Amino acid sequence: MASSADSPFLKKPLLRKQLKKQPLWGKRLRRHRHPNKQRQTQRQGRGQGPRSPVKSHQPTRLRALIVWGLLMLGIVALGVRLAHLQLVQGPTLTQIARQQQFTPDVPRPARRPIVDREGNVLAVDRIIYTLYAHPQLFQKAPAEVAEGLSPLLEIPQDELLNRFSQQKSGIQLSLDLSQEAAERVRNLRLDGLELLPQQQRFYPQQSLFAPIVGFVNVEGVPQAGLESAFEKELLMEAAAAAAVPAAPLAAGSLNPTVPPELAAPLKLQLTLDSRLQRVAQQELQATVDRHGAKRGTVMVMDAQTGALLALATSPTYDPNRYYESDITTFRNWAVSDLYEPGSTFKPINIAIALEVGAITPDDGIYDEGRLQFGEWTIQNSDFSHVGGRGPLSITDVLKYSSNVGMVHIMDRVRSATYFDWLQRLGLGRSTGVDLPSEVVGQLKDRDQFVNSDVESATASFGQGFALTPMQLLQLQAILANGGKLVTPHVVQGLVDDKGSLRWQPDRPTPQPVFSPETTQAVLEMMEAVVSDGTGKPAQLPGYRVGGKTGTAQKVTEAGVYGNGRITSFVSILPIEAPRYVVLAVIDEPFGDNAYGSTVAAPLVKSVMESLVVIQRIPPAQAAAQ
Amino acid sequence: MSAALKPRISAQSRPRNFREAADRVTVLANPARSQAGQPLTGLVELNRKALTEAPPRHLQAVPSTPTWSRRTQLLAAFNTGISMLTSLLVVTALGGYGYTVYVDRQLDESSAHLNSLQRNGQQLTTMSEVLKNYMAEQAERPSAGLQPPRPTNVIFLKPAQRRTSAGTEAPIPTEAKPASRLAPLGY
Repeated sequence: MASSADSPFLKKPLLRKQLKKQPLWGKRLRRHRHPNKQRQTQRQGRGQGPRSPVKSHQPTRLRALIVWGLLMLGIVALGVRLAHLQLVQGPTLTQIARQQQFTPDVPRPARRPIVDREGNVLAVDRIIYTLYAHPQLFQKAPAEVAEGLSPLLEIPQDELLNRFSQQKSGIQLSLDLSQEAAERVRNLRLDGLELLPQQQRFYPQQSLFAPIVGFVNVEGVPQAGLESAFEKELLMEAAAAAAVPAAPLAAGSLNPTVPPELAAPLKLQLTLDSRLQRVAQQELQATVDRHGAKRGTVMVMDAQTGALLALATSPTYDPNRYYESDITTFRNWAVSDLYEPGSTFKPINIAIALEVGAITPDDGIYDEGRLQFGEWTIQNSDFSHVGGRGPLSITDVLKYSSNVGMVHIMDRVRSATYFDWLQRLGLGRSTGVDLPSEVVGQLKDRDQFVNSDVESATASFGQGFALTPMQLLQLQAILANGGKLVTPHVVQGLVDDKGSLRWQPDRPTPQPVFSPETTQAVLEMMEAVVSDGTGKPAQLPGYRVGGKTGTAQKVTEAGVYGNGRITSFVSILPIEAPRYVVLAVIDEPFGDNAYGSTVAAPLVKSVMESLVVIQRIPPAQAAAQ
Repeated sequence: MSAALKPRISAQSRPRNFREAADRVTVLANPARSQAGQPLTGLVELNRKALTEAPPRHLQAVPSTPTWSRRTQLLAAFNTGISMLTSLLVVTALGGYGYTVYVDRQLDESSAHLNSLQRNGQQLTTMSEVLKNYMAEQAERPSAGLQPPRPTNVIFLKPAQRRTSAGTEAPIPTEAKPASRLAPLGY
């Protein structure tokens, strides 16, 4: 408009007047609406005399300039402020905002739960709270605060008051408040108290599975058992994703980097059965207590797969209060300690002799009761009151647990062949069990074994070499499953909510070692041991059970056999369709009458009683019908 | 805006319109006279006179060229379009912003809900396992009068053999076919 005012067209008096007076177009409109007013203005304009057009639009221009200037100034000022906020104060403001928006969110579970074969939870993450007091923020008198907290924390009021007076802030009052207790503390509505949530591993079954499952310490680091052996598998991917301090939207489910099949809530399932484990643990503890034994273990294995159904060890500990326990109990001695198996190894030796064709099941052996190998004397355990038993069948050798008979049997096998067989069975090697800190068995040096007669003679009745109770169980399983060397294990794999397996640890395929005919022959001999031999205390009415007792002398620290014994009993059932192997080992039971048959066999029997019920094994007669 | 539109009414056309309107008024007011063709008198005549004369000066619009008018019309249309577009954009932007805020809040609420559900689930699992363990420990006590399961206390039943379903399934299709064929005939 201002520019059009300069054009020569508009230099007519009327227009000039119009421009002079009301140069903006809005005024021209008014002229049409109010003609009288317009005329009046025009008249007034005439009266005052015409102004030059240049002079007349100066204030307009100025006004526009001022307005434009102000607007520009405003824009520039805003821009400067924005830059200042974003570039200079940005980081500080972000930090302040974060602090204001931050609510101590409850951390997500970091580790997967561990469940037994029935889905009973053995280990799970739970939320616990750490309670801090900041006396300088108290709105009420410390005495009042102490009065409110005392019953909830189970700390005397005086002690609380004493603690409040020690520091102004940051006094740790409790480390492991449960969720309910934390809620109660919150409901007190006291200022100056701070509850910090965190995830803690919890073992509802307490000491029952401790030697197997292990524990996670306060810092969240697994220290023993499966917790440490399967640390990687137990760690939740979602937890790892959530651990990134990201935007509030970054929930685990929304994180595209976590594949859905791993984000699903998986559990580590074990092959163990809580009910059987409980019975085994209870009976084992009773036996250990009754005989004043040092320690003991009972194991039940499904020989077809190598899966353990129960693995009870004594002593055990409460993983929830691991810090109060003896450190030596953290290791599962069934895999971490060696012992000389004694007579429980005899069935394996017979199987070797049968397999190499050194004997047949119907062969006869002469038992003198005592043998002399140079300076070493080998005699039967009952030699003092029975003497030599004379001619015996192979079955009788097992039935009476004749050491001399075993020496004669293994004498028919060449020492080198015998040694090779022992190695082939895995002696001196790991069993491959999935429990940590497994110790490898000890076998004599090959030259020593082959060149010395007494070595193979002592090995024939299970002494002179050492293995773990777990390895003995594995070897006995060969007899039960038709000759395959299976890998003992307690972990089934990772399962989802519906119970389908998503991941399974790699295990070697079972290698056949003995022929089924051999194992069947040995099983029948073992059945005779229970029905009519040293294993009578393990008889289970109605069931066909095979077994073998074992009472081995323990080597003292000085390296000679002392008074200490380690008694054991192994049993295989049902003989008509062998599947389960039960092994009990009791270390150093007290008393003269402490043998495999008196200490371990009754224990195995009570475990088998529960086993047949839980695994629904019908009695042999019923099965035959 | 209205000032720019005003000059669209051309100055020439206005008196004629006025005159026609006045005639119509006169005829309506005095039908008999107009039919008889008598000269009009009185107020009506005055009215007619006033209207037939040239319009007063203040009613004469500023003469405008047709190009300017067209451009104005175009601008006006453009203006209207832009206004509508702006309004639409403002509404869309507000709606979009509102939606993001709503979704954000919903997501927050839902995730808080999910978290609390998960926490409750976790707590329930823990409590149920603790209870199970407590019950098992209670049952272990000799005073509870309970004993572990023994084969002498249980009855083993052989699972009944599954009936072969072939015999029962076979007739169904053979019966069903004639039945469906006969059904319309029955009624």
